Amino acid sequence: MADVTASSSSGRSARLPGAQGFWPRLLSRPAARFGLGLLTLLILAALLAPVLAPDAPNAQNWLDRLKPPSAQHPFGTDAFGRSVLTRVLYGARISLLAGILPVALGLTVGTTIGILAGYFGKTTDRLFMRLMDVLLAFPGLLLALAIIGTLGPGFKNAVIAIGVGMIPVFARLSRAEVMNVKTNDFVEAAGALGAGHARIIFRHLLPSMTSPLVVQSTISIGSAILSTAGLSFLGLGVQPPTSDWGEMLSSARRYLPGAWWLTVFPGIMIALTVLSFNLIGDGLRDALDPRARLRRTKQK
Amino acid sequence: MIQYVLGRLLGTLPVLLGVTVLVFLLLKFVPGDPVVALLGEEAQGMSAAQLDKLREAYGFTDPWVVQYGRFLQEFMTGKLLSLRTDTPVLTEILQRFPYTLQLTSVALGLSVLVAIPLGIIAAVRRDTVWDNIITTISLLGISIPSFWFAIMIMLLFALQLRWLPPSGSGTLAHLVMPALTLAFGTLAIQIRMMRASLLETLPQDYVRTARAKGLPPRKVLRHALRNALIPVVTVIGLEFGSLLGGAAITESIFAWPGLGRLTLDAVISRDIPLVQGVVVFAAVMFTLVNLAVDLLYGLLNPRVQYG
Repeated sequence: MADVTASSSSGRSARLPGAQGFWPRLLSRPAARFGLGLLTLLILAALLAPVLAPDAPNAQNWLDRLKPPSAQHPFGTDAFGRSVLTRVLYGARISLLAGILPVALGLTVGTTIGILAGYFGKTTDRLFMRLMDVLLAFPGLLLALAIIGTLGPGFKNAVIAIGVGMIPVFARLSRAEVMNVKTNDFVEAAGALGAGHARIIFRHLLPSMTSPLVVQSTISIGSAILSTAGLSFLGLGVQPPTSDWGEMLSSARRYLPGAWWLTVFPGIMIALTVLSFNLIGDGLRDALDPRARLRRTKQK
Repeated sequence: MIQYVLGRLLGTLPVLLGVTVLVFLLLKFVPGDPVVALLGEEAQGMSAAQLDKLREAYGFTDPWVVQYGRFLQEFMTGKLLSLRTDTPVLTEILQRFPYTLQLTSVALGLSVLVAIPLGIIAAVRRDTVWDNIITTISLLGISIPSFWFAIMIMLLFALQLRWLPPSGSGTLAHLVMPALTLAFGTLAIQIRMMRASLLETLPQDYVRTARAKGLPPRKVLRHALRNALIPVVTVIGLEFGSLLGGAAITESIFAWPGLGRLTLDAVISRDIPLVQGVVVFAAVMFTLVNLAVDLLYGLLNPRVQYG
């Protein structure tokens, strides 16, 4: 019970003795530490790409086409003689954006819908949730493909396409949280004291649902990176010559089996990036979800 | 029971109608003139008067409700035509569907055969080396992009070892790599689900009772599994329904002529009626499979009451 009160109001209530803070709990897990370290490196690579990279991302050198890894080009060169290392570093920028932007879209729209549906209930709830059911009826990448089929290919449209698909997850999650919290005495008390809808939603409901939303967002960023890379791989997302890992893999297929370095490095980068978000997401869930922690201590 | 099934079937109708409305509305978001979008290059060099005439002929000047009704009617009666081939969209879909069904069944069969034992081992041997290895495999499974996995096994089995044909369809050998790719993609979530669900079940009272009355460990596990499998079946069902809509990336890498490839071709060539048709078809399949999974609950868990 101690844990429940400590984290359900995001640490604003007094901590009971023995309850650790959020960061020590998160960092006590080796997997989460590894994920955080990995992500820090990736963010640094993305930010410092112009400093770290040996060349400009689109600098072509026709004498050095399709060269295997060497001291001069640690990851080799592609069919245009561009450095794969440079392009991989710059690709980190696009990939991180490709993960964050769709989730930002899904989170904003989804949570708004979920809160409205959960808070006002009745017809609002029924209307919004039926709409979410419709979005959930499109399996896998299909909704994204349909949206791109309509809007046309490109990075912006890929972000919209993947982001729309994330709306129902966030809507359902936040709705469930609102329904759960709004019956609490403190919410009813706020209403009785004359707080308006907006004040109740922003001061009382939103803070109580940050934990599940943060966990879901982290894990969703990983899957958004995979989906957008998949779209770029199919030629529907990021367009050449922008350096993007999915696009690099797509153009590398033509040079198989000889130029293995063209597929290996971008692939490893995608996997590591997604892995870091998954590890952090798992760690966050354990650090933030009081029920998961209670379960663990009970079993031991 | 029959009444319950029929009721649930009727319950999916509003969702499916919603899907058709959404898919119909997609056409309205096509940037620019719908007639130009539908005709593509043919529209170039047409006069404004010609375009106006076509707009009327296609019915774009009618109210939206009328247009939607026509779309629905054409789709249901198989009269919605693909722009590229002029064949009915439904015919194209039904030609490709058996390939997707075959690939999906083999891939899921494969991943279930591997994932369930691995998940059980991870849960029973919790916090041992085995658990760590299996958990790592499943983490890699959700982090490695399926298209990269596909390229890597193609590099290995088709280009280096030359055991398998790199792409195409027709023989069993053609099925191996696409099935492996899809199986790999679904493996991770099944392992995680199986492990988590069994870990929740094992400490429960009835399992302790079974153990206390002296049942051998295998039999105790059988008791626990019956309940632990329920969430796993849901996940498998979701994956099955989702894969039936076609695996665009995998099918395109291995040139497998299923629904996913059809969707992708339709998207790339902006064949909007075909995109609409495939999407509606896949959504219907997905919804029906999910319903079937819901009904399966009762068989696994007698505590679920229908009514």
